[in-house]
Amino acid sequence: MKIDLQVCNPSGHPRSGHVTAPLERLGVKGVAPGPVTVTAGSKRLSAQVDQVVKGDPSSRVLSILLPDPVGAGDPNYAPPGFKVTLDTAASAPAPAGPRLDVVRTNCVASGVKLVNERLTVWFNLVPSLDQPEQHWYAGAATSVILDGAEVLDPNPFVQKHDWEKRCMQLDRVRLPQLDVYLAGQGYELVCESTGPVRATFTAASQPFIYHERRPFAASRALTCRVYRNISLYAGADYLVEELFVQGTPADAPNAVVPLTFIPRYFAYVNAPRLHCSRFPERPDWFGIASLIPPFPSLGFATDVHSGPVVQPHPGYPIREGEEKTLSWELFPCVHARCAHLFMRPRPSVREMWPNETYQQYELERADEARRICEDRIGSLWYAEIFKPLGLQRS
Amino acid sequence: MPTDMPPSSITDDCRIAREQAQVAQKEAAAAEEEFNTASADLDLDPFEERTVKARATKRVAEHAKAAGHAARKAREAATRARAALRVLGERASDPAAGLRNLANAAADDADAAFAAAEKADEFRKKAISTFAVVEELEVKEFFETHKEQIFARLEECDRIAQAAPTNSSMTFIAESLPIIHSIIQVGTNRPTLHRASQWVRDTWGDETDPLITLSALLFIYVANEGAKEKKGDEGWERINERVQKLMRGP
Repeated sequence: MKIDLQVCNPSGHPRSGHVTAPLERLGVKGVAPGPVTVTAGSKRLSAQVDQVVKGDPSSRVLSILLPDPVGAGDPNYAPPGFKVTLDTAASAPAPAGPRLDVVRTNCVASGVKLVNERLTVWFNLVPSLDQPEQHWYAGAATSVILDGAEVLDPNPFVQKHDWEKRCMQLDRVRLPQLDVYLAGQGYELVCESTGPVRATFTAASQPFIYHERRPFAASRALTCRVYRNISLYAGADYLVEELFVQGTPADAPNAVVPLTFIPRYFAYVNAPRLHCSRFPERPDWFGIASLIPPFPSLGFATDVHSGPVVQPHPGYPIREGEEKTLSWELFPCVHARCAHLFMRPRPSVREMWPNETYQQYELERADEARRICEDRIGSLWYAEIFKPLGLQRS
Repeated sequence: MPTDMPPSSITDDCRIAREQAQVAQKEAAAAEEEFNTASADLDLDPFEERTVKARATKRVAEHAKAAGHAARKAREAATRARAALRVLGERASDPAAGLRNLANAAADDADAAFAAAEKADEFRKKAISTFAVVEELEVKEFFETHKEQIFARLEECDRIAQAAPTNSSMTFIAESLPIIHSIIQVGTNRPTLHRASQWVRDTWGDETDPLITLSALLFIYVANEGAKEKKGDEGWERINERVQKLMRGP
């Protein structure tokens, strides 16, 4: 069956990249996860369908890679857009795309490695790394290698890397009258898939009981889990995360109750002089840049507002190194879409002016690195979170 | 308004300028002596030698600071004397020639004081760049253990810089700084870095950025050691020459 779709570009300039949409919203049913055939005229595009939640076909998502720019369109995603056709009947070859490797220990997935042309990220699903006495790494990316060099610990003496380094860790999830701390609890790998467009997996936290108070009904106990769907797109230097909490009532195990929650992220970056660039009038993104070469930097963008970045993380138990910790909370949400960006900005190299001191020269370079970081995360927020390419049915 | 300035204030200022110039000269001589101690090969136990050299380096800095202070005082006094002489010249038809000569001599003394202070400052910079930074950061052992790896990285950076179409010197600096910073980050610990940062502020003033200064000094040290070990190597001579640029201020 051929289904006509339209890619809408809400920007005033042509854009390429990827576009993603839930199949349910497109009114498409019965497409199994895996590579699919999508064409734009006579040209075949890389595309795939992924299932985000195990056992829930309504969570299937279509992703298409658009190598050529799509022309500018309506800022409110009104048609017409760029026409593409999804052929549900045709089989699609499986060209290489980002890779996902799952490492299992005693039949339990202990971690996931996401790899594309630029980025290699190790995501820890269990609380411990190699040392059993250290059990606070669950749900953290403990290694991020960008273009061949580690971002979280840029020193080249690999054997001296700081064990504490990590990012993207969901440290705590706050529900009304309940705080759930996740760093010491393992995650279960519930879904995984790869294709030509992206490699994606969904991890679910250990179940916990939450007593939901309802205004016009008796409170009820829900068995809840925090779901994190993390994707790495082809050629990207960032990860996209979809975050939500779902509960199941004891008396209706097939019902799904979405819950409002406040997530808190934690990061430990073993680099000196971390500077946070956050603009209160734009609380949806911020950048964290080290002002010392090679200027390793992180960026965070979200579609729900983010609170201020706290440095050091309150209550971090190890005093030596606390200045390398950061945490931030998002605003209350039912579903959050976030982008985690990794960078190593390269400020321009010029000769020193005749009366310029070395200190002045280096401070100017550091300032330029900071501005590059801000520019990059601001652009990513716009392109991936605020005004992504849209897909709709013709 | 008085028609003439008392000449005694001019002579006082000239005397002050001369005295401060002599102080600056003495401090500069003392700085040189301490520098010679700090850079000599002392036939002592390593720990004792390190302590003696560290103390001598500190004293070089103290003498240089005192010389600079005296030079500034000499210049201020000479300026006051000249200003007073100008006023006297406007108000009296023929100020004493002797006063004029005194004021000129005071200006010369102030210039000499500044020259001495600059010389003392050169000794201070040389003393610090040669060894003090490694002692302050306590990274000598770490450096010795990882020397080959560090030298190999710098040679790689030199190759990258040589291939750059422009700005090869600063390209080399930009490519190499991460490894220099990592020596500080990995080879030292937080209390030591804090003490070293305070040493930078005490030596160069509060406006100085400690991390940038420490990395520059360490870079010079590493380049010196590399050039010593690989004597005659064209690449290392080039590296050493590039790194000397970092000595330009603070």
